[in-house]
Amino acid sequence: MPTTYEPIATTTLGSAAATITFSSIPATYTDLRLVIVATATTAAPDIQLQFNGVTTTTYSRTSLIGTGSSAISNQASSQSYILLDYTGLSTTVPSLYEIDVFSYAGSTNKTLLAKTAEDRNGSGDIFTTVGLWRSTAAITSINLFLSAYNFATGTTATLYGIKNA
Amino acid sequence: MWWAQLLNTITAILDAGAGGGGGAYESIATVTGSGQTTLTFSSIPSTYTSLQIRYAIKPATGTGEALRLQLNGDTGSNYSRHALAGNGSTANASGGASGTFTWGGDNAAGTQTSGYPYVGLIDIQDYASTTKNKTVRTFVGTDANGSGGVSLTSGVWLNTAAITSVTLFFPSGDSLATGSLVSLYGIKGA
Repeated sequence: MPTTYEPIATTTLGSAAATITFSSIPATYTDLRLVIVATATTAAPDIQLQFNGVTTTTYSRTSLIGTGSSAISNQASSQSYILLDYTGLSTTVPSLYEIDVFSYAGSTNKTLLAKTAEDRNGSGDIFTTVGLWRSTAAITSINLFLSAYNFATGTTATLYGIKNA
Repeated sequence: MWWAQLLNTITAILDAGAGGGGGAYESIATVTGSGQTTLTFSSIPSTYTSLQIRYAIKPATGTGEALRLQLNGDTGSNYSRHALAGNGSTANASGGASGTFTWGGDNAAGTQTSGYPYVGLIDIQDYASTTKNKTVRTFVGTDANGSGGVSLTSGVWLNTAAITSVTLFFPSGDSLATGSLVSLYGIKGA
């Protein structure tokens, strides 16, 4: 069997940064998986995601969140990004993000599944979401940015490609 | 040769991968949509530790009827299921015991809308064991810019046989439209 799960690129921040971008993503895979382990310079900004540098209101999401005391579902339509968390980043405790982007090189609208673990020893949440980018363009770049402040030094993001038979 | 050593090192790093990656994650089979009401991955080799199915589908009628899952062709009342779902305004938990299927998707995850894919991940651990009942986990969802849903489910097949086939089907005769993609992967242990 051929290898079908391959690292495409990894970013490890050597200094604080406002954005993390994966560009020139090859169209040779079926799906993408993005794994992020992140902290921020100041609490508690949210991570937001855009594709192909598009900043128009073509994104939406539906989310399911467990806060430790309740389960919540919310939704946001016609957004300029896909929100990837609920509590937001800590300055000391990393949040873990796993984002699967399906059929990213195809000609259909693009859908992702994301799950985020952000426990804060007495607070925090588990956040899951399905996100939509209403575009039939192949995804060639992914841009991650914060609602405020910067990603902290040591934040890592790895993009994998998954290829079917 | 220094360059051969370097090449071997790079190859080893790529094969090791991360998060189950590298040579440990292999594509077994893929089905593309062409009006099927049922699809079956059969003759699954027992050489992996776990299985993962990844799909991005378009139900032909767009009714959002959830995919159901059966193993080894067993249609008996040997399955149970639980779901935690959100439709954008309400979080809901549900379950069922002694059923004839477990979830491959989830109705509570929302109604699929034409043009917007229904996507999912299905994980089956220790599928080749001949001594353990089989547990299935799914993470599925669809969003249509103002409607949709997302769901986590767990299911069990009360049977210790090694899994050699996985069947996904719609209730009420819905089908996979052109453009649907369902892929089965095998994940190896060390």
